[in-house]
Amino acid sequence: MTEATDSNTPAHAIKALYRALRLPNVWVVKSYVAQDLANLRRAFPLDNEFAGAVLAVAKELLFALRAPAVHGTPITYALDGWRRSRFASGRSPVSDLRLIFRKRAYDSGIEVLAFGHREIPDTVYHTAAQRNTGPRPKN
Amino acid sequence: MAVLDGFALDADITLSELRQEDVLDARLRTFHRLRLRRRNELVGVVVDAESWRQIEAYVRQLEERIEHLEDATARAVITSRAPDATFVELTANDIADIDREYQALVRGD
Repeated sequence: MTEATDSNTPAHAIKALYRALRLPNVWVVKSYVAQDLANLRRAFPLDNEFAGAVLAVAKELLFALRAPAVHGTPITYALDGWRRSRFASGRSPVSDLRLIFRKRAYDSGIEVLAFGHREIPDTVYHTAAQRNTGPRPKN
Repeated sequence: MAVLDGFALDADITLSELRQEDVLDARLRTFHRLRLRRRNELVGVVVDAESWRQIEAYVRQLEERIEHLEDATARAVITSRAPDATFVELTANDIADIDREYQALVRGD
């Protein structure tokens, strides 16, 4: 296990993600961000791996924002322009994370619907399934 | 799947045998895939062209299945989340709200 340093602590990484999320033209649902972040924490129990995953999400947001109409892959049969992208949480080449977003129709912004681990249960997809029977999200 | 089954018991070839065309041809005809050894050390594998084509086709097929699954999963997220979503550009206060909610979720409140 790699020791956490100042540059890769969870707190540092979360601040970096918040900075990315506060960029102009990034539109999110507040409760979804909190849930996805919490699920990411569960998916990556080790601090340095969690920090790496959070930083990877922040970086992926910037890529999506730079070219929202072409970044990632359009989701088949999902109308309304939703796209998904896969990316790695750390140094491993395995793309273990996913971002779901779309370009906003009337400006150059993006709407971020979800981010999370692609495979570990209790991540965004598990939460999404739970939400079908759970309370409405707060905004 | 047969394409990725293990190697037959005697499906070996050494580095020195690899340079002997007749030996290589005979072994590949028999086994189609060989463990390449330097003395007792496994240093690689040798497969014939048809086996390689099968492996490539198998990988393509798996990648297509993964893409279908990815799409299905993403659609499930969209179906679940998008109808209720109210997107906002975040303010500093919003960030504080998110952080509080995140901390509460992590604590299990």
